[in-house]
Amino acid sequence: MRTDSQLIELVLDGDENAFEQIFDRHKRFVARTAARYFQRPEQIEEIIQIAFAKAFVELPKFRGEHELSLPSWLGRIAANACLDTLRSQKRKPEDLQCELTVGETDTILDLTASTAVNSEESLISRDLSQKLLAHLPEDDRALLQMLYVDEMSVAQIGDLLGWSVSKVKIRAWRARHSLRKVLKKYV
Amino acid sequence: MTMQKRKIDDQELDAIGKHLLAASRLTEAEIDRIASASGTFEGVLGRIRSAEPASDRLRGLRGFVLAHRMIAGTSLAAVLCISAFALFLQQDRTAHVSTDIHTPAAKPGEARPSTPQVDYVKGFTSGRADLRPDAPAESPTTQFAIQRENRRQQPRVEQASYSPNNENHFVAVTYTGDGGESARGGRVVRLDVPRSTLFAMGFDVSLENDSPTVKADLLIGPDGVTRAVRLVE
Repeated sequence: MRTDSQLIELVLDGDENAFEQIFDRHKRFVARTAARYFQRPEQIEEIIQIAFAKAFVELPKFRGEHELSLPSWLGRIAANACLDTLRSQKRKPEDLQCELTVGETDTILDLTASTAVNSEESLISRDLSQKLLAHLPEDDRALLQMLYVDEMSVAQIGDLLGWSVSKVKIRAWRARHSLRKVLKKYV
Repeated sequence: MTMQKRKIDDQELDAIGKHLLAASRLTEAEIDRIASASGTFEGVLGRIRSAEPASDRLRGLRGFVLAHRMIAGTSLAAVLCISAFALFLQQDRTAHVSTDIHTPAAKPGEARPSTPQVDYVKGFTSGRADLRPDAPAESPTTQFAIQRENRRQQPRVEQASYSPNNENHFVAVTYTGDGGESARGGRVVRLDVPRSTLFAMGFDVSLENDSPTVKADLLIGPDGVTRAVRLVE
């Protein structure tokens, strides 16, 4: 089995199959990164395509010039692609935020309190959570997911997003503050 | 049905937030399914192929913009160089003229030597001339340059023939400082001087006449102050 470096060499020599191998090896990681920002499958798929296309174009610069490993580099490209897409979506907003009904709020609180959830409850919980978290900026939500759900360290997040540790801390504090505001408003 | 909000502290809010974040995310199986969707890699290749001509076009555009900037920069530099050279030439000529302006020195007690030409100025002016008494002897070329420079600086100056056979004499204007200074050089200019001004200077001119001005030659000292006046008409 070839290493990433060997595959990169082959890609730079014009081997398209080598690039497909890189794609197959790292597509889940890129998809996981995109899933922190987007929930819709077609959006995640688009980010995967954008990220790998950009990586292919920028691959000659990767060789010997980046200290990051290939997955970290791809993750950063994917995160930047997500942020770019979010920025363009802000210019032409399509997603409408829906207000939660009283019943939905109670359901959220009930599901939050219960530990054992079945698949149906899980789906309801996800739907309502997404509805509630839609009031939170996507980049804040992604940052909090990395911190709380993926339990990434501040340094790891900084590596992934290309931010300094202090910037990650500041943005995390702001994101937490925004989340509390949203929860205070709706829960 | 009214909504009753509970008082929740920050810790509890954070716990709820974590739960919501965890609940809202896609599962690993779903992410795998999205990543493994057919046609994704073909989509990547399609984007690469569509990006390459665009990058070529962008490279061409960059070259075009760069070439334009280079042309504009070169033109600007050329204009600046020409301007600087013209300014240098002008300053050099001014310095040359101001250094070389010279009129024959008049000896004390002698009549002032006549100059080949006299500047004829329409209207009275008390402006100081740019004269250097200690300048080196002039050449015909230098005199020509002086006259040309004077014409340039004083557009209203005309060349008029000077009549050395004029019977009138210069009358000293006594209030204009050291009379001996005029021995170091000076300049004669012909002006249309108002009759009232000449009358105030002590000349016996009729105030009632058709012409409100009288032609007069003014001997201007090296410091630009009028030393003497001679009536022409």
